[in-house]
Amino acid sequence: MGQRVGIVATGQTRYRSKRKDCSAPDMVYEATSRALADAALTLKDIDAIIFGLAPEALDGINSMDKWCADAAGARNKPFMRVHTGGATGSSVANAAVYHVASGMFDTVLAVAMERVGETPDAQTILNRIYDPVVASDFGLNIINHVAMETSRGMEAYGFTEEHMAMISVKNHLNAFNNPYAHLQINVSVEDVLKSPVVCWPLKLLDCCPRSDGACAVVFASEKKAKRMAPVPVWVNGMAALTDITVPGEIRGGQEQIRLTAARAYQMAGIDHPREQIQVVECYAPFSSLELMYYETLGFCERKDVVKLVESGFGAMDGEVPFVPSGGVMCTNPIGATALIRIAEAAIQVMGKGEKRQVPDVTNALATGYGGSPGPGSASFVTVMVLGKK
Amino acid sequence: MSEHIAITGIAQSKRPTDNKNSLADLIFEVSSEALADANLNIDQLESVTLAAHDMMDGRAITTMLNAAPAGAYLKDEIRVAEDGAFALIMACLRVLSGHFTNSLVVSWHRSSECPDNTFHTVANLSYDPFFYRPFALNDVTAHAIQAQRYMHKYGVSELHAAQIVRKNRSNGVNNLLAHLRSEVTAEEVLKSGHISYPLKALDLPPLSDGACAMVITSSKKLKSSNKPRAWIKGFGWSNDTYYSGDKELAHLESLSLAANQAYQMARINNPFKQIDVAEIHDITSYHELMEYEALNFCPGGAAGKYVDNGSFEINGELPINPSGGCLSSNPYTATGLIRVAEAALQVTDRAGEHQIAGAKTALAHGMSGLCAQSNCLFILTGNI
Repeated sequence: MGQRVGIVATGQTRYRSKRKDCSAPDMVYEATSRALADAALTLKDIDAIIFGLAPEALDGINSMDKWCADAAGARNKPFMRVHTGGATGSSVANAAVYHVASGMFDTVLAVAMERVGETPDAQTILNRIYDPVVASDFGLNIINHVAMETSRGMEAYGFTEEHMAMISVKNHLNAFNNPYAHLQINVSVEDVLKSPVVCWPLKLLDCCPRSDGACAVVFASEKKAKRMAPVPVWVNGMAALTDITVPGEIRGGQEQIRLTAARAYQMAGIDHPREQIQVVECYAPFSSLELMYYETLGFCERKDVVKLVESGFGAMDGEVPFVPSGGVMCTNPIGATALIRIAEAAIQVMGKGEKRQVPDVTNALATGYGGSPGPGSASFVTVMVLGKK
Repeated sequence: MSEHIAITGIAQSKRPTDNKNSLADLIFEVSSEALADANLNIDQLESVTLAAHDMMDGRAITTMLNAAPAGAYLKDEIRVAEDGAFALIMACLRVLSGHFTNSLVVSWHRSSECPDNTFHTVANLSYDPFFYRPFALNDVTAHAIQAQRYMHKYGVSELHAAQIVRKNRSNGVNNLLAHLRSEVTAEEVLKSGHISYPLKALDLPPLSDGACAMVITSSKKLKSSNKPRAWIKGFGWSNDTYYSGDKELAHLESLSLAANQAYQMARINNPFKQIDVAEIHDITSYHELMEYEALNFCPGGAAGKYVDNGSFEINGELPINPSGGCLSSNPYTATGLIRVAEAALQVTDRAGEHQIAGAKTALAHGMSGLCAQSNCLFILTGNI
């Protein structure tokens, strides 16, 4: 690889269904200025900016990155927008790493956002991500696609609706410890099982909310990072893979996640993730997706997934806490969501997690997921391994 | 740069594009041709870097449908929502970072899928809903205000702009791939009817269907070959404020900054003398004039005089847009990548009927956003 790259600062907005108190650039400014303040930086320290925004149809403004550029501090600076659907935030982080590792820049700001609150019905727009000829007409969207992926997963992994509910309960509990989290509600297994069916087997409380919000992360070269942050967080492994499904094919993203993780682990020298990684921020907007990560990220074999869920493996006091932030299930500003995973993983390595801090984190894992393996479609997976060393 | 990057494969869609083919067909055609031109097997390809706009393609995430024909299956693929030349910037950073030794860069646009005026409606939606959008600003009207400011500041005439159209359209006749391949006189431009003062119909580019693909390879991985290659000697990019009322519209500040960065990297201190040919983003004829100044081809305000002297004609000291430029072909998002492709063809003596004899150093320019908000620049040479 080129130069070593570290994360020195993060900044997030408070996430809500609709940020009526501010406009899109205001949210970008809020996240950006908090990230700068996190490492006592000013805009003068920032050499280039990468911006993340997923489908702007959700926001109702074409190329909204251009409107938000000033608020990201990008006037008279190198700036560009990355968009890989739900993986946008982590693709932005990857782009920031390329910027610094290329040797052309010392300090780069990655900022990503979405205002899903502007759209009356996100799933109508997300129906338009699929092929207009072979898929859109069937009313396919993210929820009913994941429902199919989930029922297939129940068959393959042997988990039940109760296991999904346990994940949901854990994540909603974790969200209380995260001051930025969108949903902070008390949820019991019974509540989840009794919540309205959105598309079987997914019930309302198995699903993420739709959020407004922005997240910013500052990346720096090794030399600068050591000066800027008391505990710089090193990007030790990263990988991204695009998978293609042919028309007529519908499947889950598990094999793709497995392949991507294997590449990132190889780069980071991780051969026993369960022993080497202390915390995971995975991109799981639905409860069923999180438990399949236990296997695809290499923490157990497929047959042991149910056992791990039942034993509280991913809980805050479990063996390897999954999404101490409450995760995507509690906060989902689409374009920013995957960057929030990286910010939260970095916060854990820095030891700045306060109430959601996992003890003794030396390696943290963050994943991103965009697109959908629906008919005639593409899906985008990213995996990043962050470490103290 | 710690290593050199070569453009090893180039492909542009044929003209006229066949309406029987889908957008995916168009993308597959250029992507596979660029790989073949680079003599690269898909298994040897390490990364794919795309540029596309959802709203212009009429899809919510256009790469979900179009990453496949661009060869992204099980590749590390990333997409920028900018002009195509920005994807090449990203690809160069990916190679310089050491993560990859090659990348396939693809960009496209199929204007024929947009019903009449949709393009301008979407451009209007680029404006914020509070201050700018209610003024019905779009790509044409905003650029008209910019052109008018430039005329007013420097006394450039409508005839100067008309001469740019005449030049580029005349150049386009010799480019077999150009969308419009017919000459127009300056007088015809002046009489072509105002769309938004001072822009007349022929001062504006057409809306075209098209795609462009390119393969870049690190010098570390390059096998020796007799094939001529274009080398990326320098690149730069920058972004201006979105608020067009807050900037001097007559100066393309972000293009100047991008040029400074690229010139410094490529050790260019007298662009007018050192550059043999340039392919720039003539989003309107007036923008080409403003770009001469931002690129330091001539002093601020002197573009009109240089046009009078014929400096940028096909046989002038610094031929600009020998391909015919955007004014001859404008598949929106792909336009900037086509500028780079054309510049690369020039320095490798592969430009055919519009080849500038002996071109060794070429400049290519891409633009994103309205009123020239974001710009990027490449300096290419025929040898390291």
